[in-house]
Amino acid sequence: MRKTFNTVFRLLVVRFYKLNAGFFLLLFVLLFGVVSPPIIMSYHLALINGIIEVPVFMTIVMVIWFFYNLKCIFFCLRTVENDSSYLLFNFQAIDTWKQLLLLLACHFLLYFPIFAYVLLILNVAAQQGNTSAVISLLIFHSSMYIMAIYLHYRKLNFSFKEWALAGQLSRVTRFSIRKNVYFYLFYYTIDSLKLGFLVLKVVSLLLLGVILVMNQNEFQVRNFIIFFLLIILIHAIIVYNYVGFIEKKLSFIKNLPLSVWNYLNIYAITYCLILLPELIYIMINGQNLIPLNNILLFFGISVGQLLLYTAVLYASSFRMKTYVKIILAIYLSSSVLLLSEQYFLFFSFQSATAVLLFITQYYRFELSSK
Amino acid sequence: MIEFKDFKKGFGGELLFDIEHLVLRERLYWLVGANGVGKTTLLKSIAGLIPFAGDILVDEINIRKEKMKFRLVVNYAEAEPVYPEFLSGQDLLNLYSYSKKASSGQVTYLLNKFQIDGFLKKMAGTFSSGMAKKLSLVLAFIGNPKLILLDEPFISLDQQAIEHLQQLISEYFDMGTSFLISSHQDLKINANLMATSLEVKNSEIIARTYAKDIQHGI
Repeated sequence: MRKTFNTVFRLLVVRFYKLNAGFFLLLFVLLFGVVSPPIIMSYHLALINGIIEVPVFMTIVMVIWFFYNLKCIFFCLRTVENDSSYLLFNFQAIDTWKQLLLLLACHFLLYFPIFAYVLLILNVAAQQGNTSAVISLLIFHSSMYIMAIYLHYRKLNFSFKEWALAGQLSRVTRFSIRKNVYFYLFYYTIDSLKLGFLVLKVVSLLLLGVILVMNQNEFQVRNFIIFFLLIILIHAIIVYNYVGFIEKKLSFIKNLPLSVWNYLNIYAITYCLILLPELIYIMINGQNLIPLNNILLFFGISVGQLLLYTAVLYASSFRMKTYVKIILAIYLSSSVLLLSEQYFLFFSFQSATAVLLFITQYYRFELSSK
Repeated sequence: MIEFKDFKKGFGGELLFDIEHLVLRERLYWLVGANGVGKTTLLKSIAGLIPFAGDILVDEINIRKEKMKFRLVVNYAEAEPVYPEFLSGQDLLNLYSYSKKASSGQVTYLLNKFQIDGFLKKMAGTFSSGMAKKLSLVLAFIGNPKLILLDEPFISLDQQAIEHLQQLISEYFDMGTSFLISSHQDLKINANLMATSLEVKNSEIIARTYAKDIQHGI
Protein backbone atom coordinates (compact mmCIF):
# COMPACT_ATOMS: atom_id res chain seq x y z
CA MET A 1 0.00 0.00 0.00
CA ARG A 2 2.78 2.41 0.97
CA LYS A 3 4.74 1.57 -2.20
CA THR A 4 1.67 2.18 -4.35
CA PHE A 5 1.07 5.48 -2.61
CA ASN A 6 4.70 6.48 -3.18
CA THR A 7 4.36 5.79 -6.91
CA VAL A 8 1.09 7.71 -7.19
CA PHE A 9 2.53 10.49 -5.04
CA ARG A 10 5.59 10.88 -7.28
CA LEU A 11 3.65 10.65 -10.56
CA LEU A 12 0.77 12.92 -9.62
CA VAL A 13 1.44 15.11 -6.59
CA VAL A 14 5.16 15.87 -6.97
CA ARG A 15 4.84 16.41 -10.73
CA PHE A 16 1.80 18.66 -10.25
CA TYR A 17 3.61 20.96 -7.84
CA LYS A 18 6.80 20.93 -9.91
CA LEU A 19 4.96 21.87 -13.10
CA ASN A 20 2.89 24.52 -11.35
CA ALA A 21 5.64 25.99 -9.17
CA GLY A 22 5.40 29.32 -10.97
CA PHE A 23 1.62 29.41 -10.59
CA PHE A 24 1.82 28.83 -6.82
CA LEU A 25 4.63 31.31 -6.40
CA LEU A 26 2.61 34.03 -8.12
CA LEU A 27 -0.50 33.06 -6.16
CA PHE A 28 1.51 33.38 -2.97
CA VAL A 29 2.82 36.78 -4.05
CA LEU A 30 -0.71 37.92 -4.90
CA LEU A 31 -2.15 36.77 -1.58
CA PHE A 32 0.70 37.65 0.75
CA GLY A 33 3.26 39.72 -1.16
CA VAL A 34 1.31 42.71 -2.41
CA VAL A 35 0.04 43.72 1.02
CA SER A 36 2.39 45.27 3.58
CA PRO A 37 3.09 42.93 6.56
CA PRO A 38 1.41 45.05 9.27
CA ILE A 39 -2.01 44.89 7.58
CA ILE A 40 -1.79 41.37 6.18
CA MET A 41 -3.98 39.88 8.94
CA SER A 42 -6.68 42.51 8.63
CA TYR A 43 -6.52 42.21 4.82
CA HIS A 44 -7.21 38.49 4.94
CA LEU A 45 -9.82 38.87 7.65
CA ALA A 46 -11.66 41.39 5.45
CA LEU A 47 -11.37 38.98 2.51
CA ILE A 48 -12.73 36.09 4.61
CA ASN A 49 -15.57 38.21 5.98
CA GLY A 50 -16.45 39.20 2.43
CA ILE A 51 -16.61 35.54 1.40
CA ILE A 52 -18.76 34.59 4.39
CA GLU A 53 -21.15 37.54 4.35
CA VAL A 54 -21.63 38.42 0.67
CA PRO A 55 -23.27 35.54 -1.24
CA VAL A 56 -22.19 36.90 -4.65
CA PHE A 57 -18.57 37.09 -3.50
CA MET A 58 -18.76 33.56 -2.10
CA THR A 59 -20.17 32.34 -5.42
CA ILE A 60 -17.33 33.98 -7.36
CA VAL A 61 -14.73 32.46 -5.03
CA MET A 62 -16.42 29.06 -5.35
CA VAL A 63 -16.20 29.33 -9.13
CA ILE A 64 -12.44 29.95 -8.79
CA TRP A 65 -12.10 26.96 -6.42
CA PHE A 66 -14.10 24.86 -8.86
CA PHE A 67 -11.71 25.77 -11.68
CA TYR A 68 -8.73 24.91 -9.49
CA ASN A 69 -10.34 21.55 -8.74
CA LEU A 70 -10.83 20.98 -12.48
CA LYS A 71 -7.18 21.88 -13.03
CA CYS A 72 -6.15 19.14 -10.56
CA ILE A 73 -8.56 16.62 -12.10
CA PHE A 74 -7.49 17.29 -15.68
CA PHE A 75 -3.85 17.06 -14.68
CA CYS A 76 -4.44 13.60 -13.17
CA LEU A 77 -6.54 12.39 -16.12
CA ARG A 78 -3.91 13.54 -18.60
CA THR A 79 -1.13 11.95 -16.56
CA VAL A 80 -3.00 8.64 -16.55
CA GLU A 81 -3.41 8.89 -20.35
CA ASN A 82 0.30 9.58 -20.76
CA ASP A 83 2.30 6.60 -22.04
CA SER A 84 4.85 6.87 -19.27
CA SER A 85 2.13 6.64 -16.62
CA TYR A 86 0.45 3.46 -17.87
CA LEU A 87 1.73 1.68 -14.81
CA LEU A 88 -1.01 3.53 -12.93
CA PHE A 89 -3.48 1.09 -14.48
CA ASN A 90 -1.97 -1.56 -12.17
CA PHE A 91 -4.08 0.28 -9.63
CA GLN A 92 -6.98 -1.91 -10.79
CA ALA A 93 -5.46 -4.82 -8.88
CA ILE A 94 -6.01 -3.05 -5.53
CA ASP A 95 -9.14 -3.45 -3.41
CA THR A 96 -11.78 -0.75 -4.14
CA TRP A 97 -11.74 0.82 -0.66
CA LYS A 98 -7.95 1.01 -0.67
CA GLN A 99 -8.07 2.63 -4.12
CA LEU A 100 -10.56 5.22 -2.90
CA LEU A 101 -8.43 5.91 0.15
CA LEU A 102 -5.32 6.39 -1.98
CA LEU A 103 -7.16 8.66 -4.39
CA LEU A 104 -8.57 10.67 -1.48
CA ALA A 105 -5.08 11.12 -0.01
CA CYS A 106 -3.72 12.08 -3.41
CA HIS A 107 -6.45 14.61 -4.17
CA PHE A 108 -6.24 15.99 -0.64
CA LEU A 109 -2.59 16.87 -1.31
CA LEU A 110 -3.36 18.44 -4.69
CA TYR A 111 -6.28 20.44 -3.31
CA PHE A 112 -4.43 21.38 -0.12
CA PRO A 113 -3.59 25.03 -1.00
CA ILE A 114 -7.34 25.72 -1.27
CA PHE A 115 -8.27 23.49 1.64
CA ALA A 116 -5.84 25.22 4.02
CA TYR A 117 -7.43 28.59 3.28
CA VAL A 118 -10.93 27.09 3.55
CA LEU A 119 -10.08 25.83 7.05
CA LEU A 120 -9.35 29.44 8.03
CA ILE A 121 -12.65 30.59 6.53
CA LEU A 122 -14.55 27.79 8.31
CA ASN A 123 -12.91 28.76 11.58
CA VAL A 124 -13.95 32.42 11.23
CA ALA A 125 -17.47 31.46 10.09
CA ALA A 126 -17.88 29.06 13.05
CA GLN A 127 -16.69 31.73 15.51
CA GLN A 128 -19.21 34.19 14.08
CA GLY A 129 -21.93 31.54 14.29
CA ASN A 130 -22.59 31.79 10.54
CA THR A 131 -24.01 28.25 10.18
CA SER A 132 -25.26 28.68 6.62
CA ALA A 133 -21.78 29.70 5.43
CA VAL A 134 -20.20 26.72 7.26
CA ILE A 135 -22.71 24.27 5.74
CA SER A 136 -22.37 25.78 2.25
CA LEU A 137 -18.59 25.56 2.40
CA LEU A 138 -18.60 21.99 3.74
CA ILE A 139 -21.07 20.77 1.10
CA PHE A 140 -19.18 22.56 -1.67
CA HIS A 141 -15.74 21.22 -0.76
CA SER A 142 -17.02 17.70 -0.05
CA SER A 143 -18.56 17.68 -3.52
CA MET A 144 -15.23 18.83 -4.97
CA TYR A 145 -13.51 15.82 -3.36
CA ILE A 146 -16.27 13.39 -4.40
CA MET A 147 -16.19 14.65 -7.98
CA ALA A 148 -12.40 14.28 -8.23
CA ILE A 149 -12.26 10.82 -6.65
CA TYR A 150 -15.16 9.56 -8.78
CA LEU A 151 -13.54 10.76 -12.03
CA HIS A 152 -10.13 9.34 -11.13
CA TYR A 153 -11.65 6.02 -10.06
CA ARG A 154 -13.62 5.78 -13.32
CA LYS A 155 -10.57 6.64 -15.37
CA LEU A 156 -8.38 4.05 -13.69
CA ASN A 157 -10.90 1.24 -13.62
CA PHE A 158 -13.32 1.33 -16.47
CA SER A 159 -11.80 2.41 -19.70
CA PHE A 160 -8.63 3.30 -21.54
CA LYS A 161 -10.71 5.38 -23.92
CA GLU A 162 -10.55 9.14 -23.93
CA TRP A 163 -14.03 9.55 -22.55
CA ALA A 164 -13.22 12.22 -20.02
CA LEU A 165 -14.39 15.79 -20.26
CA ALA A 166 -10.83 16.82 -21.03
CA GLY A 167 -10.88 14.57 -24.07
CA GLN A 168 -14.27 15.85 -25.18
CA LEU A 169 -13.13 19.45 -24.85
CA SER A 170 -9.94 18.67 -26.77
CA ARG A 171 -11.97 17.29 -29.65
CA VAL A 172 -14.06 20.46 -29.72
CA THR A 173 -11.03 22.77 -29.73
CA ARG A 174 -8.92 20.78 -32.22
CA PHE A 175 -10.83 22.13 -35.18
CA SER A 176 -9.44 21.47 -38.61
CA ILE A 177 -9.01 24.90 -40.18
CA ARG A 178 -5.86 26.07 -41.87
CA LYS A 179 -3.66 27.36 -39.06
CA ASN A 180 -1.27 30.24 -39.54
CA VAL A 181 2.03 30.16 -37.67
CA TYR A 182 1.28 33.56 -36.10
CA PHE A 183 -1.72 32.05 -34.32
CA TYR A 184 -0.04 28.85 -33.14
CA LEU A 185 0.20 30.17 -29.56
CA PHE A 186 -3.45 31.17 -29.61
CA TYR A 187 -4.44 27.67 -30.77
CA TYR A 188 -2.18 26.24 -28.09
CA THR A 189 -4.01 28.38 -25.51
CA ILE A 190 -7.44 27.12 -26.48
CA ASP A 191 -6.21 23.57 -26.88
CA SER A 192 -3.98 23.02 -23.85
CA LEU A 193 -4.34 26.03 -21.55
CA LYS A 194 -8.06 26.65 -21.79
CA LEU A 195 -8.85 26.10 -18.12
CA GLY A 196 -5.90 28.09 -16.80
CA PHE A 197 -6.62 30.80 -19.34
CA LEU A 198 -10.27 30.99 -18.26
CA VAL A 199 -9.28 31.30 -14.60
CA LEU A 200 -6.73 33.96 -15.54
CA LYS A 201 -9.35 36.00 -17.39
CA VAL A 202 -11.89 35.64 -14.57
CA VAL A 203 -9.33 36.85 -12.00
CA SER A 204 -8.14 39.61 -14.32
CA LEU A 205 -11.65 40.92 -15.04
CA LEU A 206 -12.56 40.66 -11.35
CA LEU A 207 -9.59 42.88 -10.50
CA LEU A 208 -10.66 45.36 -13.16
CA GLY A 209 -14.21 45.20 -11.81
CA VAL A 210 -12.99 46.07 -8.32
CA ILE A 211 -11.14 49.17 -9.49
CA LEU A 212 -13.43 50.37 -12.30
CA VAL A 213 -16.92 49.36 -11.14
CA MET A 214 -16.91 48.84 -7.37
CA ASN A 215 -14.71 51.88 -6.73
CA GLN A 216 -16.07 53.99 -9.55
CA ASN A 217 -16.86 56.93 -7.26
CA GLU A 218 -13.44 56.98 -5.64
CA PHE A 219 -11.48 56.20 -8.81
CA GLN A 220 -7.84 57.26 -8.86
CA VAL A 221 -5.43 56.61 -11.72
CA ARG A 222 -2.71 55.66 -9.20
CA ASN A 223 -4.84 52.81 -7.84
CA PHE A 224 -5.76 51.74 -11.34
CA ILE A 225 -2.07 51.52 -12.31
CA ILE A 226 -1.34 49.21 -9.35
CA PHE A 227 -4.23 46.89 -10.32
CA PHE A 228 -3.38 47.13 -14.00
CA LEU A 229 0.25 46.10 -13.41
CA LEU A 230 -0.96 43.29 -11.15
CA ILE A 231 -3.12 42.02 -14.01
CA ILE A 232 -0.10 42.01 -16.32
CA LEU A 233 1.93 40.27 -13.60
CA ILE A 234 -0.50 37.36 -13.31
CA HIS A 235 -0.15 36.86 -17.08
CA ALA A 236 3.51 35.97 -16.43
CA ILE A 237 2.40 32.34 -15.98
CA ILE A 238 1.00 32.14 -19.46
CA VAL A 239 4.13 33.78 -20.93
CA TYR A 240 6.22 31.09 -19.22
CA ASN A 241 4.00 28.42 -20.74
CA TYR A 242 4.26 29.97 -24.21
CA VAL A 243 8.05 30.15 -24.25
CA GLY A 244 8.23 26.60 -22.86
CA PHE A 245 5.90 25.38 -25.58
CA ILE A 246 7.74 27.15 -28.42
CA GLU A 247 11.15 25.95 -27.26
CA LYS A 248 10.15 22.40 -26.34
CA LYS A 249 7.44 21.35 -28.77
CA LEU A 250 7.91 23.81 -31.58
CA SER A 251 11.70 24.12 -31.53
CA PHE A 252 11.86 22.79 -35.11
CA ILE A 253 10.57 26.13 -36.44
CA LYS A 254 14.02 27.59 -35.79
CA ASN A 255 15.14 25.63 -38.86
CA LEU A 256 12.64 27.51 -41.01
CA PRO A 257 13.74 30.57 -43.00
CA LEU A 258 11.82 33.03 -40.83
CA SER A 259 13.33 36.23 -39.51
CA VAL A 260 13.62 37.04 -35.82
CA TRP A 261 10.83 39.60 -36.39
CA ASN A 262 8.53 36.77 -37.44
CA TYR A 263 9.24 35.00 -34.15
CA LEU A 264 8.69 38.24 -32.22
CA ASN A 265 5.37 38.72 -34.01
CA ILE A 266 4.22 35.22 -33.05
CA TYR A 267 4.37 36.39 -29.44
CA ALA A 268 3.16 39.98 -30.03
CA ILE A 269 0.06 38.93 -31.98
CA THR A 270 -0.85 36.36 -29.33
CA TYR A 271 -0.49 38.93 -26.53
CA CYS A 272 -2.72 41.37 -28.41
CA LEU A 273 -5.34 38.63 -28.73
CA ILE A 274 -5.26 37.38 -25.15
CA LEU A 275 -5.39 40.91 -23.72
CA LEU A 276 -8.40 41.89 -25.82
CA PRO A 277 -10.94 41.00 -23.07
CA GLU A 278 -9.22 43.46 -20.70
CA LEU A 279 -9.13 46.17 -23.38
CA ILE A 280 -12.83 45.73 -24.15
CA TYR A 281 -13.71 45.68 -20.45
CA ILE A 282 -11.77 48.90 -19.78
CA MET A 283 -13.29 50.57 -22.85
CA ILE A 284 -16.80 49.70 -21.66
CA ASN A 285 -16.45 50.36 -17.94
CA GLY A 286 -13.65 52.90 -17.83
CA GLN A 287 -14.48 55.24 -20.69
CA ASN A 288 -15.70 57.92 -18.27
CA LEU A 289 -12.69 57.49 -16.01
CA ILE A 290 -9.74 57.17 -18.40
CA PRO A 291 -9.28 59.01 -21.73
CA LEU A 292 -9.40 56.74 -24.80
CA ASN A 293 -5.82 57.47 -25.88
CA ASN A 294 -4.61 56.45 -22.40
CA ILE A 295 -6.68 53.25 -22.55
CA LEU A 296 -4.95 52.39 -25.84
CA LEU A 297 -1.56 53.26 -24.34
CA PHE A 298 -2.28 51.00 -21.35
CA PHE A 299 -3.09 48.22 -23.81
CA GLY A 300 0.20 48.86 -25.62
CA ILE A 301 2.05 48.87 -22.31
CA SER A 302 0.50 45.53 -21.33
CA VAL A 303 1.49 43.90 -24.65
CA GLY A 304 4.97 45.44 -24.36
CA GLN A 305 5.38 44.20 -20.80
CA LEU A 306 4.45 40.64 -21.78
CA LEU A 307 6.99 40.88 -24.61
CA LEU A 308 9.53 42.05 -22.04
CA TYR A 309 8.70 38.99 -19.87
CA THR A 310 9.24 36.82 -22.97
CA ALA A 311 12.61 38.42 -23.68
CA VAL A 312 13.58 37.97 -20.01
CA LEU A 313 12.83 34.25 -20.28
CA TYR A 314 15.09 33.99 -23.35
CA ALA A 315 17.82 35.98 -21.62
CA SER A 316 17.59 33.96 -18.40
CA SER A 317 17.74 30.55 -20.14
CA PHE A 318 14.16 29.81 -19.04
CA ARG A 319 15.10 29.65 -15.36
CA MET A 320 11.99 30.09 -13.26
CA LYS A 321 13.70 31.59 -10.20
CA THR A 322 15.52 34.26 -12.21
CA TYR A 323 12.36 34.94 -14.18
CA VAL A 324 10.24 35.50 -11.06
CA LYS A 325 12.86 37.81 -9.53
CA ILE A 326 13.14 39.91 -12.68
CA ILE A 327 9.41 40.23 -13.34
CA LEU A 328 8.83 41.31 -9.74
CA ALA A 329 11.53 43.94 -10.23
CA ILE A 330 9.79 45.00 -13.46
CA TYR A 331 6.48 45.23 -11.54
CA LEU A 332 7.98 47.45 -8.84
CA SER A 333 9.91 49.71 -11.22
CA SER A 334 6.89 50.03 -13.54
CA SER A 335 4.72 51.01 -10.54
CA VAL A 336 7.09 53.87 -9.76
CA LEU A 337 7.67 54.99 -13.37
CA LEU A 338 4.00 54.92 -14.38
CA LEU A 339 3.04 57.16 -11.48
CA SER A 340 4.76 59.97 -13.42
CA GLU A 341 1.89 59.53 -15.92
CA GLN A 342 4.33 59.71 -18.87
CA TYR A 343 2.60 56.78 -20.50
CA PHE A 344 3.84 57.24 -24.04
CA LEU A 345 7.43 57.63 -22.90
CA PHE A 346 7.13 54.53 -20.73
CA PHE A 347 5.49 52.58 -23.56
CA SER A 348 8.26 53.53 -26.02
CA PHE A 349 11.10 52.78 -23.60
CA GLN A 350 9.62 49.46 -22.50
CA SER A 351 8.82 48.31 -26.05
CA ALA A 352 12.30 49.23 -27.29
CA THR A 353 13.90 47.34 -24.37
CA ALA A 354 11.72 44.29 -24.99
CA VAL A 355 12.42 44.19 -28.73
CA LEU A 356 16.16 44.78 -28.31
CA LEU A 357 16.46 42.08 -25.65
CA PHE A 358 14.43 39.62 -27.70
CA ILE A 359 16.29 40.04 -30.98
CA THR A 360 19.68 39.78 -29.28
CA GLN A 361 18.77 36.74 -27.19
CA TYR A 362 16.53 34.65 -29.44
CA TYR A 363 19.22 32.81 -31.37
CA ARG A 364 21.45 32.55 -28.28
CA PHE A 365 18.82 30.62 -26.38
CA GLU A 366 19.15 26.96 -25.54
CA LEU A 367 17.08 25.07 -23.01
CA SER A 368 19.17 24.22 -20.00
CA SER A 369 20.07 20.54 -19.77
CA LYS A 370 19.52 20.67 -15.99
CA MET B 1 30.41 21.89 -48.69
CA ILE B 2 30.21 22.39 -44.94
CA GLU B 3 32.82 24.58 -43.31
CA PHE B 4 33.45 25.01 -39.58
CA LYS B 5 35.48 27.97 -38.31
CA ASP B 6 36.43 28.18 -34.62
CA PHE B 7 33.45 26.00 -33.87
CA LYS B 8 32.92 25.36 -30.18
CA LYS B 9 29.90 23.74 -28.62
CA GLY B 10 29.26 22.41 -25.15
CA PHE B 11 26.33 20.72 -23.51
CA GLY B 12 25.57 20.40 -19.83
CA GLY B 13 28.84 22.12 -18.89
CA GLU B 14 30.93 19.74 -21.02
CA LEU B 15 32.79 20.81 -24.17
CA LEU B 16 31.65 18.53 -26.99
CA PHE B 17 33.31 20.21 -29.96
CA ASP B 18 36.39 22.35 -30.35
CA ILE B 19 37.21 22.65 -34.05
CA GLU B 20 39.53 25.33 -35.32
CA HIS B 21 38.89 24.78 -39.02
CA LEU B 22 37.29 21.91 -40.89
CA VAL B 23 35.92 21.66 -44.41
CA LEU B 24 33.69 18.75 -45.41
CA ARG B 25 33.80 18.60 -49.20
CA GLU B 26 32.12 15.26 -49.82
CA ARG B 27 28.39 15.10 -50.39
CA LEU B 28 27.35 12.14 -48.31
CA TYR B 29 28.55 11.80 -44.76
CA TRP B 30 27.72 9.12 -42.27
CA LEU B 31 28.08 10.47 -38.75
CA VAL B 32 29.13 7.81 -36.26
CA GLY B 33 30.13 7.79 -32.62
CA ALA B 34 29.13 6.41 -29.26
CA ASN B 35 26.03 7.63 -27.41
CA GLY B 36 26.48 11.07 -25.87
CA VAL B 37 29.46 12.19 -27.98
CA GLY B 38 27.36 14.96 -29.52
CA LYS B 39 26.07 13.71 -32.89
CA THR B 40 22.61 15.22 -32.38
CA THR B 41 24.13 18.40 -30.93
CA LEU B 42 26.28 18.74 -34.05
CA LEU B 43 23.30 18.25 -36.36
CA LYS B 44 21.17 20.70 -34.37
CA SER B 45 23.98 23.27 -34.46
CA ILE B 46 24.25 23.02 -38.24
CA ALA B 47 20.44 23.22 -38.53
CA GLY B 48 20.48 26.47 -36.54
CA LEU B 49 18.37 25.06 -33.72
CA ILE B 50 20.87 25.68 -30.94
CA PRO B 51 23.55 28.32 -30.33
CA PHE B 52 27.30 27.74 -30.59
CA ALA B 53 30.52 29.72 -30.81
CA GLY B 54 32.21 30.24 -34.17
CA ASP B 55 30.87 29.96 -37.70
CA ILE B 56 29.27 27.32 -39.86
CA LEU B 57 29.01 27.80 -43.62
CA VAL B 58 27.11 25.66 -46.10
CA ASP B 59 28.13 26.33 -49.70
CA GLU B 60 29.67 29.58 -48.44
CA ILE B 61 26.42 30.75 -46.85
CA ASN B 62 27.20 31.82 -43.29
CA ILE B 63 24.62 30.84 -40.64
CA ARG B 64 25.22 34.09 -38.72
CA LYS B 65 25.33 36.54 -41.58
CA GLU B 66 22.55 35.08 -43.75
CA LYS B 67 20.23 33.45 -41.25
CA MET B 68 17.21 33.10 -43.54
CA LYS B 69 19.11 32.09 -46.67
CA PHE B 70 21.02 29.50 -44.66
CA ARG B 71 17.81 27.97 -43.30
CA LEU B 72 16.33 27.90 -46.78
CA VAL B 73 19.04 25.52 -47.94
CA VAL B 74 19.61 23.42 -44.80
CA ASN B 75 16.87 21.00 -43.76
CA TYR B 76 16.78 18.80 -40.70
CA ALA B 77 14.85 15.77 -39.48
CA GLU B 78 14.91 14.87 -35.80
CA ALA B 79 15.58 11.37 -34.51
CA GLU B 80 12.38 11.23 -32.50
CA PRO B 81 10.09 13.98 -33.74
CA VAL B 82 7.30 15.22 -31.47
CA TYR B 83 4.65 17.57 -32.76
CA PRO B 84 2.05 19.75 -31.01
CA GLU B 85 -1.29 18.06 -30.45
CA PHE B 86 -3.40 20.73 -32.10
CA LEU B 87 -1.53 20.86 -35.42
CA SER B 88 -2.47 18.48 -38.21
CA GLY B 89 0.04 16.96 -40.59
CA GLN B 90 -1.40 19.28 -43.23
CA ASP B 91 -0.75 22.36 -41.05
CA LEU B 92 2.90 21.42 -40.73
CA LEU B 93 3.16 20.64 -44.41
CA ASN B 94 1.64 24.03 -45.28
CA LEU B 95 4.09 25.82 -42.97
CA TYR B 96 7.13 24.03 -44.40
CA SER B 97 6.13 24.18 -48.05
CA TYR B 98 5.39 27.91 -47.77
CA SER B 99 8.55 28.85 -45.89
CA LYS B 100 10.90 26.49 -47.75
CA LYS B 101 9.32 27.47 -51.07
CA ALA B 102 8.30 23.99 -52.19
CA SER B 103 6.22 23.28 -55.26
CA SER B 104 2.91 21.45 -54.88
CA GLY B 105 4.21 18.77 -57.24
CA GLN B 106 7.17 18.09 -54.94
CA VAL B 107 4.91 17.85 -51.88
CA THR B 108 2.59 15.37 -53.63
CA TYR B 109 5.59 13.31 -54.74
CA LEU B 110 7.01 13.12 -51.21
CA LEU B 111 3.63 12.28 -49.69
CA ASN B 112 3.14 9.46 -52.17
CA LYS B 113 6.64 8.22 -51.52
CA PHE B 114 6.02 7.82 -47.80
CA GLN B 115 2.31 7.07 -48.21
CA ILE B 116 1.13 9.45 -45.53
CA ASP B 117 -1.37 11.53 -47.51
CA GLY B 118 -4.23 9.66 -45.84
CA PHE B 119 -3.09 10.76 -42.38
CA LEU B 120 -2.57 14.44 -43.05
CA LYS B 121 -5.88 15.62 -41.59
CA LYS B 122 -5.13 13.91 -38.28
CA MET B 123 -3.46 15.83 -35.49
CA ALA B 124 0.30 15.25 -35.68
CA GLY B 125 0.50 14.90 -31.89
CA THR B 126 -1.58 11.72 -32.14
CA PHE B 127 0.67 10.12 -34.77
CA SER B 128 2.46 6.88 -33.97
CA SER B 129 6.25 7.18 -33.79
CA GLY B 130 6.53 5.68 -37.28
CA MET B 131 4.04 8.14 -38.76
CA ALA B 132 5.68 11.10 -37.01
CA LYS B 133 9.01 9.91 -38.39
CA LYS B 134 7.66 9.70 -41.94
CA LEU B 135 6.18 13.19 -41.63
CA SER B 136 9.49 14.59 -40.35
CA LEU B 137 11.29 13.01 -43.31
CA VAL B 138 8.81 14.48 -45.79
CA LEU B 139 9.39 17.90 -44.18
CA ALA B 140 13.17 17.41 -44.37
CA PHE B 141 13.06 16.86 -48.14
CA ILE B 142 10.78 19.82 -48.83
CA GLY B 143 12.04 22.79 -50.86
CA ASN B 144 15.41 23.01 -52.57
CA PRO B 145 17.87 22.01 -49.85
CA LYS B 146 21.59 22.00 -50.51
CA LEU B 147 22.15 20.03 -47.33
CA ILE B 148 19.83 17.61 -45.52
CA LEU B 149 20.64 16.58 -41.97
CA LEU B 150 19.04 13.30 -40.93
CA ASP B 151 19.31 12.18 -37.32
CA GLU B 152 18.78 8.43 -37.05
CA PRO B 153 16.51 8.40 -40.11
CA PHE B 154 15.95 4.63 -40.21
CA ILE B 155 14.57 4.09 -36.70
CA SER B 156 10.80 3.58 -36.32
CA LEU B 157 10.39 3.01 -40.08
CA ASP B 158 8.95 -0.11 -41.71
CA GLN B 159 11.01 -1.92 -44.33
CA GLN B 160 9.15 -0.36 -47.24
CA ALA B 161 9.64 3.15 -45.89
CA ILE B 162 13.35 2.45 -45.35
CA GLU B 163 13.66 1.45 -49.00
CA HIS B 164 11.78 4.55 -50.14
CA LEU B 165 14.01 6.73 -48.00
CA GLN B 166 17.12 5.16 -49.50
CA GLN B 167 15.77 5.82 -52.99
CA LEU B 168 14.94 9.39 -52.08
CA ILE B 169 18.45 10.01 -50.73
CA SER B 170 19.88 8.71 -54.02
CA GLU B 171 17.53 10.87 -56.09
CA TYR B 172 18.30 14.05 -54.14
CA PHE B 173 22.02 13.20 -54.18
CA ASP B 174 21.86 12.99 -57.96
CA MET B 175 20.19 16.40 -58.04
CA GLY B 176 23.09 17.90 -56.06
CA THR B 177 21.91 17.76 -52.45
CA SER B 178 24.45 16.85 -49.76
CA PHE B 179 23.65 14.69 -46.75
CA LEU B 180 24.87 14.36 -43.22
CA ILE B 181 23.29 11.29 -41.70
CA SER B 182 23.67 10.08 -38.17
CA SER B 183 22.87 6.42 -37.75
CA HIS B 184 23.76 3.54 -35.51
CA GLN B 185 22.48 1.21 -38.19
CA ASP B 186 24.35 0.29 -41.36
CA LEU B 187 23.95 2.99 -43.94
CA LYS B 188 22.42 1.05 -46.81
CA ILE B 189 22.54 3.45 -49.69
CA ASN B 190 22.58 2.72 -53.40
CA ALA B 191 25.89 1.15 -54.41
CA ASN B 192 26.94 4.02 -56.65
CA LEU B 193 27.00 6.41 -53.69
CA MET B 194 30.10 6.41 -51.58
CA ALA B 195 29.67 7.71 -48.07
CA THR B 196 32.41 9.19 -45.97
CA SER B 197 32.20 8.37 -42.32
CA LEU B 198 32.63 11.10 -39.77
CA GLU B 199 33.51 10.02 -36.29
CA VAL B 200 32.93 12.30 -33.35
CA LYS B 201 35.69 11.70 -30.82
CA ASN B 202 37.43 13.82 -28.18
CA SER B 203 35.70 17.07 -29.21
CA GLU B 204 36.79 16.59 -32.82
CA ILE B 205 35.32 15.29 -36.05
CA ILE B 206 37.47 12.72 -37.82
CA ALA B 207 36.71 12.04 -41.48
CA ARG B 208 37.45 8.64 -43.01
CA THR B 209 37.19 8.80 -46.75
CA TYR B 210 35.32 5.96 -48.40
CA ALA B 211 35.20 3.93 -45.25
CA LYS B 212 35.29 0.23 -45.97
CA ASP B 213 33.10 -0.63 -43.03
CA ILE B 214 30.06 1.08 -44.53
CA GLN B 215 27.74 -1.48 -45.98
CA HIS B 216 26.69 -0.50 -49.47
CA GLY B 217 23.93 -1.80 -51.63
CA ILE B 218 20.25 -2.33 -50.93
